[in-house]
Amino acid sequence: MKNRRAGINLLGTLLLLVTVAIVVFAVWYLEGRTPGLRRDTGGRRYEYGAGDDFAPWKRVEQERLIYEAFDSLAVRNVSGRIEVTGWDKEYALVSFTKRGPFSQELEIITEIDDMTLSVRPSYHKRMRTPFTSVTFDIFVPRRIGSIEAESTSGSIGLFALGNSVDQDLKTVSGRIRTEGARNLSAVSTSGSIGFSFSGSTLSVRSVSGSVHGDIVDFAPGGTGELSTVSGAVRLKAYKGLDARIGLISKSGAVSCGFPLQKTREKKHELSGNVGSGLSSLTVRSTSGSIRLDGL
Amino acid sequence: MEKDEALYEKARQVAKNKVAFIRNFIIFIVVLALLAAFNNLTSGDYQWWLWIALFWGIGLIFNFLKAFLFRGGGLERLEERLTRQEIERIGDEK
Repeated sequence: MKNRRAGINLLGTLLLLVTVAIVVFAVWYLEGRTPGLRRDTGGRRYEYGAGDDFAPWKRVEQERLIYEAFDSLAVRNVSGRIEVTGWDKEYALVSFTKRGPFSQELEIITEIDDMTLSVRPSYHKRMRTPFTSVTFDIFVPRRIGSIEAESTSGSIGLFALGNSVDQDLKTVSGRIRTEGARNLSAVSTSGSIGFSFSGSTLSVRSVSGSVHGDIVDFAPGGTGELSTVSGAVRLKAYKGLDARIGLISKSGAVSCGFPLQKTREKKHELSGNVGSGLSSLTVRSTSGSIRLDGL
Repeated sequence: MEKDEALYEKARQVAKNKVAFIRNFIIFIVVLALLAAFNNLTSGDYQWWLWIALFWGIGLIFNFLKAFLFRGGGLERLEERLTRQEIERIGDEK
């Protein structure tokens, strides 16, 4: 009898602890929903100020900063997405949103050095970074020459840029999407990669993510190297493609929709020339399938 | 006999309070889970369901205190104790 009474009391105490934990969490979250503090503009122009939005997780700070006179962009992030969009205006608009309980300790460093606009977060040493993320929404003139974007845990997206921008994109766990790139280097560990390419140098690497790409143009003498470990590769190329093609997989299926003058054909490998083979396109995968078709 | 009935009623009330607390807790969790899901499926910008969790949770804590710690009759017990002390004091004076 005493055991049963102790049991119900123990259950009651456990339920109480859960209730207290929920109440404490609610107080902690709701207390922190106040808008973030306005930051010193440091001579930069505001389009609008901080704290117009509320956080899904405690606190949000937002800023929009406007920059001119640069021809390349370098963005680094640790946790959070990076999105860069081309527009017709002659200046860049950098908008960022910080989310997390320690967001006020997260500085966003934006500076122009050697015609490169660089944007990156600076985490305070004692800050617990996993709880604070920042997302970047950046608008740049379409005439921009190159874009470098790197994120540890976050996706990278580049949109409406035309086909004249060199791009160097790296992420560990996010996916990469770019609508138009001249020369492109894209690396992702677990995220998928989607691209449109029209330059002379193409380098795409992914470990577990799939790769989907359109080759709109390929300069004579250009090189393309794509590789994945387990992700599938789907490529579409313009009709006039003129390249030495190598599609090599260890265990995945391989197929080519172009008329290929084959130099080597195995179960998981296809090599040969399309046209006279002016440029070079090699795709390798360990277990993923590879497919090359016309656009 | 009357004393037994009073004792039974008291025990029944304590048991009722304990069961009520457990039932309220289950309803609390289920309703909060539904509200949180609705909040995040429609617009996850602001977790308004935590306001409900906060006030309902405080109510539930009082519910627990009533059922498991302060089971009532505190003043009655004090009255009895004071009466006994008073009887002893009068007896000593005699």
